[in-house]
Amino acid sequence: MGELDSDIDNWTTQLRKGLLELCIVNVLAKGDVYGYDLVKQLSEVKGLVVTEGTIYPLLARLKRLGLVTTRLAESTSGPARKYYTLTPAGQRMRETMNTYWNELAGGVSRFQNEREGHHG
Amino acid sequence: MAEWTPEATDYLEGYLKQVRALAQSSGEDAEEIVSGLRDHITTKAEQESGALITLSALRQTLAAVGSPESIVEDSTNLRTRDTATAQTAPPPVIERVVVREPASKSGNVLRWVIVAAILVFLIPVVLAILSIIAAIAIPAWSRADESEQRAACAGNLKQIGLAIQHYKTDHNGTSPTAMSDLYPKYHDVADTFVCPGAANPPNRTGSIDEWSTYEFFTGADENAIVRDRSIHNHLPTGRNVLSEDGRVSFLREIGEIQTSRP
Repeated sequence: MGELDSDIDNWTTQLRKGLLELCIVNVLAKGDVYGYDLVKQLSEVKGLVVTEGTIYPLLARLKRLGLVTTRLAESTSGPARKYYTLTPAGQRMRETMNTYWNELAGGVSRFQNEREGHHG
Repeated sequence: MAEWTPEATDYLEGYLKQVRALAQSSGEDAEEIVSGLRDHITTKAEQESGALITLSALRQTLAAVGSPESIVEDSTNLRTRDTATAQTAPPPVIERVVVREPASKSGNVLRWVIVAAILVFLIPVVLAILSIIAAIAIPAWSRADESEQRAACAGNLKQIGLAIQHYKTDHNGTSPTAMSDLYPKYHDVADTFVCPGAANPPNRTGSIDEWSTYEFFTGADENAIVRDRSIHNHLPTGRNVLSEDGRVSFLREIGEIQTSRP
């Protein structure tokens, strides 16, 4: 792997980590979700979930911060499932993160469009 | 409910044990992570492999979940982020974020730059203060030393004055004309005939008239009888002078500045 490839790989990893947290709180905002289902939903975004296991340290941290809670619920198709729920504090954090992300994404898009305009 | 082969069960437990150990060493909530992962892996394995979970099937499942190292490594990297999560964290977590900041290289460099800047400004100030103190103290010490020497010299001349009086008593009032008239018969302490301020103390060999730093003197001041041979024994430049009446005065080259009682 060349130096440029390594840099891009590192950049995508860092970007993905921040976005993963943003996506988790937004998925949880729609309702309780159990871990496996959460991963499946997040995996629909291409490039967001590279290894499924990385979600769990993140969820453990959100729980420790009081942003999510967990509960076990019986399942008809297997062992009891652990459901994750966004707390009010988590909801507030989600709003803050979304606001920040929207401003950031808007600004970044503007730069991208300006750049394309220069070349066009 | 799917059935797990013993090999698959052991493999899963070994995998989770590894995750637990890595998470604990990284300061993460190991049990919460392992609990979520176990739930995820069993659900995934059972949905993808059917009723029997073999070691081979489990390995395929774990390939998508990720290695223990990659899972915990991701977690460790995430801790350094500066997001709204950190800002809304309870006190223990905020402390961890805040404490880690000063440990950064830029923080250390900044600290050293501040220390260096303080030293650069402080050292000249300290040196300047020491120079001022030295400029005041050294001449003062020198003056004190010189004053003591001049007083000791005056004491010598008074002793010589007493010896002169004894000589005159024995010689019907005739004054002595040389130090050898007084030493050792009328005063036998050789040190008395040497000024303590003399730059080069004499060898004291031969006649006392040669090595004594005092001399008899009859000049413009008729009363002056004995004085320092050199004007450089004391500062400022001048001589201690013994008068006929027993007084000792210090005379600068430009005039009298101090007189001691007989």
